Amino acid sequence: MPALLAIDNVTRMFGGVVAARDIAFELQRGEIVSLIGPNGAGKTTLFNIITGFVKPSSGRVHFDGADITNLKPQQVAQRGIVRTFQITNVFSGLTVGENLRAAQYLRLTGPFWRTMLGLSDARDRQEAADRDAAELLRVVGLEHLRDETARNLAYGQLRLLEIAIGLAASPKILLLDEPAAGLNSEESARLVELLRWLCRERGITLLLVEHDMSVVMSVSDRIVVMNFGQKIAEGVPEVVKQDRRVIEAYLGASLDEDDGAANGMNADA
Amino acid sequence: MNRLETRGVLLFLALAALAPLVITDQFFIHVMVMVFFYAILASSLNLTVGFVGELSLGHAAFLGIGAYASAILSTEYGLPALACIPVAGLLAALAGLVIGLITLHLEGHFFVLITLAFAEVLRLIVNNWIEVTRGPLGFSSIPPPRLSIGGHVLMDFSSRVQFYYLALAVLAVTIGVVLLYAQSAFRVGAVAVRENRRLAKAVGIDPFRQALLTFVIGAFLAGMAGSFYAHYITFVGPEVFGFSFMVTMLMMVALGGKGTVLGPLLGALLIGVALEYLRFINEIRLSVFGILLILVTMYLPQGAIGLLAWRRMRKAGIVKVSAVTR
Repeated sequence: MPALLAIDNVTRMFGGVVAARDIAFELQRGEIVSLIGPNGAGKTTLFNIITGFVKPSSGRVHFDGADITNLKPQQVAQRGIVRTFQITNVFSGLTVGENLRAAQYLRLTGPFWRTMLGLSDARDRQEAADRDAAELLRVVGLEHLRDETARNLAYGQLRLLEIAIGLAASPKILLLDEPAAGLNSEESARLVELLRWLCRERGITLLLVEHDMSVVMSVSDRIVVMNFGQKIAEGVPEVVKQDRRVIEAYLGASLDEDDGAANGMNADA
Repeated sequence: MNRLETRGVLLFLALAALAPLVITDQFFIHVMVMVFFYAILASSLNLTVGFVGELSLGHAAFLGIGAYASAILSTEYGLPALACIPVAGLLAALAGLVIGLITLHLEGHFFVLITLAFAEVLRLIVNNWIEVTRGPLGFSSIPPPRLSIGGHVLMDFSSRVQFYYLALAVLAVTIGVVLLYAQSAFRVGAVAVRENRRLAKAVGIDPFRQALLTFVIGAFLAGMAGSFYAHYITFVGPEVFGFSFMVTMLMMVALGGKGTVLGPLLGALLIGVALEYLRFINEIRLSVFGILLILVTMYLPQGAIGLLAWRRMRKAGIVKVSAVTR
């Protein structure tokens, strides 16, 4: 079976700086893959390339057999690759319910007149979308906050709302950029449950960038490790965490700066 | 859209429909015709400014295109005025499509400036392309509308009250279009772009298409307003492209409450009435409005409608203000 997402030798330079060099890996349907590495390793750049926010200097991205390298972000999302952002990103002036409604935009709209006049199929779509939104809020545990304005939410709740927004857009692949950042251990555990559930019940393929090693190790089918813009290892968690280059990359990083990820890595290893 | 707002809009239309039965003062009727005209303009401007959140300073261009289209079609080609109104709307929408295709790739300050430039360029063309537009002289004696069935004249628009109801009819169409838009998924997409452009893209919303659609609808409505203006005032000159109309409608949107359906109507009523009744202090009239606009922007960013919603929610014990009024 061909890969759902294939990154083929993608390179991206910013001026003279190589943010990603010759990165290649694949995502299979229904997998949970984590992208890890010290700060500045190029993980978010890769996210930006996959979702069309940044174009690669060379290399291609294929999704479901089609070349999506040069598509715009909204076109990538329309095909089914939806992302969240590292820095919390919601529609902060809208209520939680309206946030999900906005993310459901694509399935709420049809031809101009039918959408404008709210004809029967538009109403059907709306009802189906409302049911789905209610279920999503239940899954992430925010149903009691449906009418709350997003900017009034606590940090942990915002992170969950972000995931719910991503899901409301009916993705085939959901890219989560540090979903566990800033969550306490209880919230992280809940996140892990949620991610597994998504994969199992909804058949969504997940790609995460994450620093919290307990989350990464417990949820991932495979791990891709990056350092200084290059892929240095790839494999199942048990293998990756004993890889010499991976340990070096993390220990090296922890000498320069106090990187929580490195500590987590050691604790696990 | 909430129920308070829908009721407010219906109340506005009902009161407007009944008012001439009670008040027959001709000056009042004229003032209200202008209020309706401004309400159409403000509602159409609000689509882009309020829902998409991009400030267009070129909206007067669509008013002008509608007015000139109507003037030329009725005086030179003899098209009946009532047919001119929708045709002028469509021509303005077409202009909106062209201008939107060029300008809406920009956002923020750049969009503001380029739309302003477009309106100014159109004004200069109209001022100088004398063979078509008659230059600064403009068109005068634009014929009034006539409504007849089988040779029998129903309305000849010789009285102001008939214009009053024509303006109200165009306004009702405008409000209908705006209400449909505000309840459709298009508003959801536009508001998503306004609130967070990057996230909107990430969930598959195309900001450009969203803005273009809204912009073209707004241009259509403003074009109809321009056409009505031409037949009511019976004179059209290059000043319909001018900045004073632009400032007036912007003020109405800001004061009434942007991003709502009722807000622009309230703004048009408040400022439209003040504009006409304060003519005796003509010199300082606009200065007063300028100061008012500064105060509203600073202390009442959601406009009069925000004040209403806030009072109501405070009464109900809810302090937060929902996005509908934002």
